[in-house]
Amino acid sequence: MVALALVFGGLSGEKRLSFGERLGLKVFGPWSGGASEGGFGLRHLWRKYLWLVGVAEENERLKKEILRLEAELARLEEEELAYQRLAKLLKVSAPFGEQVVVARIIGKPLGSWQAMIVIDKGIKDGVLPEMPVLSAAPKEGGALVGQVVAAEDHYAKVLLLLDPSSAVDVLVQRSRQRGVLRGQGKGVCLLDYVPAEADVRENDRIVTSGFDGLYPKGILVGWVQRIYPGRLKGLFRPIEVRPAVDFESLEEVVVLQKKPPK
Amino acid sequence: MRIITYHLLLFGVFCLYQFLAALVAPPVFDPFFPILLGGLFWGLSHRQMALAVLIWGLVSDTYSFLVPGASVISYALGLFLFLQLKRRLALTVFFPALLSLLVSISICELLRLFLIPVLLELSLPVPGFYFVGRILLGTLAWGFLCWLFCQFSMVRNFFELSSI
Repeated sequence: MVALALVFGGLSGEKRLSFGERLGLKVFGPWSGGASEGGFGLRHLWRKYLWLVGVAEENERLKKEILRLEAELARLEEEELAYQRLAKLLKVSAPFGEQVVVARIIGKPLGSWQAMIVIDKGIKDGVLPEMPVLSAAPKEGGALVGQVVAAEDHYAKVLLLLDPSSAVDVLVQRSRQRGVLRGQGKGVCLLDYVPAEADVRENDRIVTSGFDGLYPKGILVGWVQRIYPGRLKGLFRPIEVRPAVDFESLEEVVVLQKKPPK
Repeated sequence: MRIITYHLLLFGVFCLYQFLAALVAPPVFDPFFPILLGGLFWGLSHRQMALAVLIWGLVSDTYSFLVPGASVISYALGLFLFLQLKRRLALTVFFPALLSLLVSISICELLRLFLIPVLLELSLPVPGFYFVGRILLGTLAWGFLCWLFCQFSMVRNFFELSSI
């Protein structure tokens, strides 16, 4: 009975998490955060420092001095990159006023095909289920990442655009053609329910329509990558969309608050 | 002491998995189930193994699925199946034991990644067999490595198969 209560109890509440999941996030969240922090740190070190050391080794004359300077440079670059990321996130949040929460990713799925992440902000920070999640996209400002599906006091689960359970009402920005963007589980999404005769071209920008009442209108989602010829699905023509967000290198996200925290 | 070491090992695997996921990408295997089967080698009682299944199944569900229950239920059924195979086949010989491990992992992971999500009305990725298949293969490889560790580790006497 206790096991059943842990696995299935408490799902109907505001948090949409079972008692066991709440307990799991409370206990393992900090450890998962620490492990992820270590992973991200090592990745930065590898990209920004070790690579530079490799270059420096080619120049024997300046070996020691360059190494010291490069270590210093790497540290400063790392700080600058962090600053740039945060500045981008602030830019993302600007159109939405102050009702945003910046969160770090602290967990990824354990041997599962579901595209979801765990972030380090929860109900106490004003993050609730069904809130849109954005990230900074290269050259374009903010781009859609997904939505919060469950939240604990200090942690929340976010369903990514790539997940097969995800569906977003979108527009082709140029022709205003409407469709539903669905995840496929891999790096691309499928734009569905677009009539075969619709005016859609490769590299057209896809933005949220706002009609689903979940995502604000006009958030960048991605670009048309491939248009399947003919009517593969009856009246409609499936279209592949390349998301604007690089989900592999995602570290921080912005949660748009629909209502102020209690 | 053994039960604490066992859970610390699972906890270490969880932290290492999240570390690697942040460093590169999430490794394509289920880290917990093969080690949960390892409870047998640690001489844990059935009750202790069931508790481990509940704890680590919940952790797996929390981080991996939209709806709860897929990992807990499939781990429990997988463990039950493995214990039945052990009882029937008297797994004191290398190959029947290995075969039972592979069968249990295959059935458990298919339940966890395919059947239970479908029953819970989760949409599967496209193509489903590719995503499910590669995690299944990865878990089989991970299970085989865990198995080899138990068989050939320096502390073989500690991990050795029960002669019951």
